[in-house]
Amino acid sequence: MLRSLFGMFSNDLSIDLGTANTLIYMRGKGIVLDEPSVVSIRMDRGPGGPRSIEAVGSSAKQMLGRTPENIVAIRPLKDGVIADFTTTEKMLQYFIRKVHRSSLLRPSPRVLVCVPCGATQVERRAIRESAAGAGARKVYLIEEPMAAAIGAGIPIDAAVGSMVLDIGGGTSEVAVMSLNGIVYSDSVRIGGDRFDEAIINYIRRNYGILIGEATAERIKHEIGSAYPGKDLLEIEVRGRNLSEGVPRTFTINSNEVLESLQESLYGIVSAVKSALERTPPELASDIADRGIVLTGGGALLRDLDKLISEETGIHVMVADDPLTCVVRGGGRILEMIDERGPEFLATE
Amino acid sequence: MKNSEQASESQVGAGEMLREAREKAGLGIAEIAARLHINQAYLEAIETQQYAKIASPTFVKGYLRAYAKAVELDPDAVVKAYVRVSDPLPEWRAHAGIQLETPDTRRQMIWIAVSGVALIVLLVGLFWWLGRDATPRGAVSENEILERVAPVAQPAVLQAALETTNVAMSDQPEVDLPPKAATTAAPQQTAEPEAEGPETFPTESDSTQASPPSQHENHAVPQEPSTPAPASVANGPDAIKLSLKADSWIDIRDANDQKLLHGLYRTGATRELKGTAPFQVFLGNAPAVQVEFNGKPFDASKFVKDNKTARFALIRP
Repeated sequence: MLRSLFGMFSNDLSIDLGTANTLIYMRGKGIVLDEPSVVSIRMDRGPGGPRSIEAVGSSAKQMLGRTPENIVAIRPLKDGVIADFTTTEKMLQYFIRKVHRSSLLRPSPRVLVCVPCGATQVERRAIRESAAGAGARKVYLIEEPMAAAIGAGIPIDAAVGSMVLDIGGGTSEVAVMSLNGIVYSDSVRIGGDRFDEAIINYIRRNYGILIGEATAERIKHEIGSAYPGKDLLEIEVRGRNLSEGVPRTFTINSNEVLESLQESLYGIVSAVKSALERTPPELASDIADRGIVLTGGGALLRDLDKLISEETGIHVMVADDPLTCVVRGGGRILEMIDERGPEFLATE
Repeated sequence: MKNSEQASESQVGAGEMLREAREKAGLGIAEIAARLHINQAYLEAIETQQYAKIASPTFVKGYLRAYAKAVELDPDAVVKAYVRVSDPLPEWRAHAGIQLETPDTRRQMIWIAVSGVALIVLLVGLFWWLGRDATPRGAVSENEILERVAPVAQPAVLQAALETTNVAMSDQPEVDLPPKAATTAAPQQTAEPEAEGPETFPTESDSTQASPPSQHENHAVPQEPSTPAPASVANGPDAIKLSLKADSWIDIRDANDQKLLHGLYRTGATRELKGTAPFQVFLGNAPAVQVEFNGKPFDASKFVKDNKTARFALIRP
């Protein structure tokens, strides 16, 4: 009872702890934080010496690939799960502090964290403990596709099947939901990061030029597409020529990018296809009738909806504001927890 | 030209915009449905602006965007036109089941619970406050019990005690020691709940043998004039003798709750009192005060608390 009284003064947070970006939604305030999940660590006395946090978030992202020897910029999450436990905890702590100042009247917040549905028990525990260590009063875990569907405004409470494909930085989650539960879910470790890697590899193979992650991401954002379009887009980028060893400028077009992404895209399409194969027929017919909803940053890849639609024969649509679907859905779930209690959560 | 056309289009509904564009392009609705993999019934519902036939605004927007792209309209303009007409907030309920409680009764229940907790906290606080007052009262009643028990002492023993006091006064303790030990050991047993065995008697009598001479040396030291004299020294059958090795606050009351000694006494001072037992004794610096009751040294060390004070009753048998 006292806790719920305290709860009136504290603001609950919904966190989308993503491989690429971390978003925090505060009840009654909307999205209060959207920063890259990057931490840069200063190690003045070598790798074994004391470590201190140099920067977190967007300032740390600018350091990626541009750091001197005593600073490392790292992404503590890989493939949607925690790869570096302590750094993740520090990062979460920094983000929570940034949006929620604790005081006597505002105790630590309740936190809802979205986890990939493919996360193992060990990984879930790591996420839960990081959030608790970062100062959460209570930690709820929810599967990402569930939050994504709610954030996208799909009525998953009805006895009708809905399919959501959430393409994040590290993982892509495909899930079929009905009656507030997950009927089928699958997670493939292909996401925005894999797209970047594919572009880097393609350029190294075909041009003999090495580009960095940030450049690859820029190429993907500006001319990346998943389906051959009518017009050819071009972009001028700079990289280091491997044979000459000097920086060179070159031009790459959207068809080449499409070619480089083929393999990763095929992985996502086959995940969707196998999900449809394993969905009970009634739900599959519902999905065929209504269509598949795309969320996550990957949904912003040009014509990805068209590719999946052509491959599956089902209409595919991109949700409004796909990047924030998961965290908005988490915020809505927190409200429901207050109204109904946490029982309806699939993952506790 | 195009802008003004769009502006006029945006005044009309999204469905109308799409239908017009489709007819202009010479496409049939079935053709578009097949190309977009959208159920034809949904496209018809969109064209006639019966959006309620589609499950959720999310799907409506998705279909509108796809349709707009197919007929080469600006998807955002079409969605904007739809939102202007109707954009109900996406409904999502935690349970598809029947709702038994209305939110109003829930709110009432929360208030009832909150006020109930406040009441409980208040009551607990009140009891705690009263309980805090009651504890010293309980201690007093214990003393009262002691007082009530004490007067039941047999007159014979009382006589003996009187004798021993007189003996102690006359500085010749060796003569009458055995009977004195027997008489004074008994009251100590009654005064102290943790009664000691009879085998300790001889040691106590030994200490009485040793201590009186030294006490009498102290006795010769002149008393300080600053020490407050007792207001009225009541006469009685029992005697207490105190000698101080260090400064101490002393408070002694007799059976009638009359102050025999009350105040700060200096190092080296000795005091002899007469009154009626039982005596309520409070010593501020108990380890520094030697107490003799009816000529027999009284061991107050058992009553000494952590802060060096001691509170006990002296009762004759």
